[in-house]
Amino acid sequence: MTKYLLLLTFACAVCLTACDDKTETIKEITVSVQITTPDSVTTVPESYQVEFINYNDNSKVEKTAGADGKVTASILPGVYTISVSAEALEQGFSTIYSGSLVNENIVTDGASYTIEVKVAKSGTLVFKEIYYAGSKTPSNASYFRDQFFEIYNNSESVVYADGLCVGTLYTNLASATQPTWDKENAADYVYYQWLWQIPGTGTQYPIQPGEAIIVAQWATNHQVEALNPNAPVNLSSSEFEGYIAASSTQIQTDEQAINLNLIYRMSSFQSMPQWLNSVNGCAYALFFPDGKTDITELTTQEGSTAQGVAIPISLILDAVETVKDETQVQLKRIPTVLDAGATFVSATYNSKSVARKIKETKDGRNIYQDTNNSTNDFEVQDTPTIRRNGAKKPSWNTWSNGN
Amino acid sequence: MKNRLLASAVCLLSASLYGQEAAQPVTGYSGLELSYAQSLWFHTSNAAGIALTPLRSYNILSAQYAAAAGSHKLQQEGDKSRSTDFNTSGALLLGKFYLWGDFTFSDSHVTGATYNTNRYEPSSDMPYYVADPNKSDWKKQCYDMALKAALPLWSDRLVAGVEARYTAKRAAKQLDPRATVYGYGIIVRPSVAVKIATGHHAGLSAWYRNTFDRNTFTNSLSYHNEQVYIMKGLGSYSPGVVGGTGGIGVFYYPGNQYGGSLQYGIARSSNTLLLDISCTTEKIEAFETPTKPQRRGAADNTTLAAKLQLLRSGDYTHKLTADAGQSATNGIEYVQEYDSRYDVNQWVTIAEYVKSTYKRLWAALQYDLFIGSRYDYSWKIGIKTLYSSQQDEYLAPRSVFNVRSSYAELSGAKNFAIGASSKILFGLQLGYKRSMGGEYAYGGAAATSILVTDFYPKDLSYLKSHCGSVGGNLSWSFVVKSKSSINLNLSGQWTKPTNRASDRRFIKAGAAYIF
Repeated sequence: MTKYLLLLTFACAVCLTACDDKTETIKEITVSVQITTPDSVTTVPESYQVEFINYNDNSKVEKTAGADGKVTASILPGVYTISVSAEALEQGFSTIYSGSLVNENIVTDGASYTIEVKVAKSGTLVFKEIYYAGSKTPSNASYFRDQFFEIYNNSESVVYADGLCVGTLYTNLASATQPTWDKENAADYVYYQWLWQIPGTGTQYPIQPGEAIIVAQWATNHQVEALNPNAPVNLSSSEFEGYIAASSTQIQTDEQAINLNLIYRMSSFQSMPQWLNSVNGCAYALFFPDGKTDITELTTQEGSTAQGVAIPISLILDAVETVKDETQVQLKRIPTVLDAGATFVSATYNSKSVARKIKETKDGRNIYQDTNNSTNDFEVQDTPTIRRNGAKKPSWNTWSNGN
Repeated sequence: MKNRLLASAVCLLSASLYGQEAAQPVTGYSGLELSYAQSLWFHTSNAAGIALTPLRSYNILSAQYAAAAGSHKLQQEGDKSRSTDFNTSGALLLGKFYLWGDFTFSDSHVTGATYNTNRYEPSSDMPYYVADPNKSDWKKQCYDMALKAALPLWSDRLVAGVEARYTAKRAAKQLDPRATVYGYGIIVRPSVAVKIATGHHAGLSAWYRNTFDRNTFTNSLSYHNEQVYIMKGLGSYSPGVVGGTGGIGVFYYPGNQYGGSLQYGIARSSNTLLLDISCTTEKIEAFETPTKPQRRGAADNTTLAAKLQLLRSGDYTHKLTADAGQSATNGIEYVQEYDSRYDVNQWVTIAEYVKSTYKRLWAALQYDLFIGSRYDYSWKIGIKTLYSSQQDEYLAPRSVFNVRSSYAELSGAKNFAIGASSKILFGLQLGYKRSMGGEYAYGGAAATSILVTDFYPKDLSYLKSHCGSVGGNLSWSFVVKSKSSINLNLSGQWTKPTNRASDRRFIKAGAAYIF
């Protein structure tokens, strides 16, 4: 019988060997990051804030790099966004340093990464509040005609809104699948799927420091019985609206607000000539044309007939990534140099908005936080409000009744 | 599929009708219970061995209603549940072939289950599933068909056999976020048993099991998306949402199991010993979206088990069963990136890591004494003890969930003869579970999530409780023909923890025709 017991033992040992697993057990790895600045930058900040964010694990490791830009961190292997930000005061201006690596697979111990930060003056015009989620009518129907965004002069100088372009970037919905574009140095551009432009001669629409303009889908009072008494906003005092006279499908009427010029809408929405910003959250960006970039020239996606308007990243004044909820934060559309994060109201048609946080108040004028990271710069508001926190309306808005 | 299953069950039942033995017929649950206790090889994975310790021929057709209620339970179990089962089963010697077959259809309704959105039967060592905190009902159906066959003895030394089992199940969660669950499992176990010397037999079996579950998610309120937790174990999760754009896709779980076992049996006059040692390895993977598969994790399990059975037959039948084993599961997570090139568009796995481990250890000892004859008993006394431990660890960031307990049960049953053709079986069970401690410590980034503050602590409280249970069963059997009987059964159990304000009540009622 002994030999059979030995046989049993041997067979079990064989089974155990067969069951052996080759998958490596998780353990922390050390990675290093070297932050660099472009050659043209002569002043570097005293320190950089560096965040290693793993959206799959809800984890974040925060480190501080010195002026030499070197930092190391112990993290678990995974997919990370490494975000670098710093701010410095130079000759009275606030200078923003930002850069990142997005969705980087970090699995090798001792790996090193170089992140070049871009440098920009803190934005002159910034998105101050964006209301995209829409609302519910008393009969529980979905209502999205009350969407708006507010653009604020965050600087100390007057800025003219004439010619300002604003729109949403590809992709319409946050997605892990981002298109590739048939363009040289394609990564140096953002690609608009909708693009509107404020008309004007160049000096028609000044925005003084501390003033804000409201760009509405429809500059009317949405709270009337015929529209949606549950709508959170009355937009009749808006400066601009996305009205298209040729549209035969819309309920929209031409209000007193100045009509935006529609430069481009993506082909899949050509049959619907109306403002259609997703209630799930779009990627918003604004810029002034530089005279060298043709804003009507279209670029085509590789492997597709879809087209968009390519605008150099260097022209973008401000960009904000809005997504549906926290599960989509890692689905970046906007290059992280423009927005290293994302903001969200967690649901559709919940009458909530996102609004920029106040950084400081100087001489009675609010200066809003603009670190090019909307996760940090924005907060959710239960009730969208135009010209929140005492933002002033431009003097040329003669049709508003005080709000 | 349902029709094919029913047809197969009817064929199985019909086949059994042709194989009646002339031996003492089984005419009640007590006789059937004793027959199963005596068939030591039946309780192994070696189907060939049933020729060595065969079941007595029987056929049974039964229906049963069962219900449970009470808050002494795991969170993923319902506050209440009820099920209706239909079963047909039989064993026979057909020519020189020993056959056993079983078919069960179960229809159940669970009320008030939480933290499970998509699993038919959640298991703590399969951590990759979807959970939500909404208390929901579930509707479930299961078809389970099994067959064991032992071929004729070859050269007076060797018996070959095979076991096959097919299970099909479907379920639907009844409250947003909703899920429909479809799954199957099929296992094939060829086996041999060989006579080594007079009274000495050795057995060998191997098996392959294939399983597949598929879950789709929906909301009834289409304008309201539901937040869910894509679970990774011990409170770690990725956030997810059901509904709308960007909602989670179809989850599916292919699984493959390989196993082998060895048996050694010794028979001396009325004494029989059988040792069974088995090793099983199984990997169940969790994927999302079949057209662009994204790995959500994998549970890689290895189980080692040993069972020793001792039987002394006669008017006093003694049965001692010692059972021990350990199970170790590695929870594997993947680092993936999406290759968005338009001609690829697939998730690519960069690395994989064991991020959690789930260890189970158990040891049980059971002794049963049957007093009566070889074919039925008038008294039965049973003692059972069990030790079990669960040690779960999420490796980084470290979280642990540990619990150990022991259990003892004393049972007795008396068969009362009522005239020549009727009898009443009355049984009583007393049990006590003593917790030997447990802990849950979460070290991750979501310490305020409801998983950490509610789900795991409540389950730990349940598993850590000391509790007593009392149960009873009553069965009335009466012979309607010389070899057949009708059996009516009623049983219940009440479990009451001593350190927790809750209880759990079970009741079963059924009828069976044994022929």
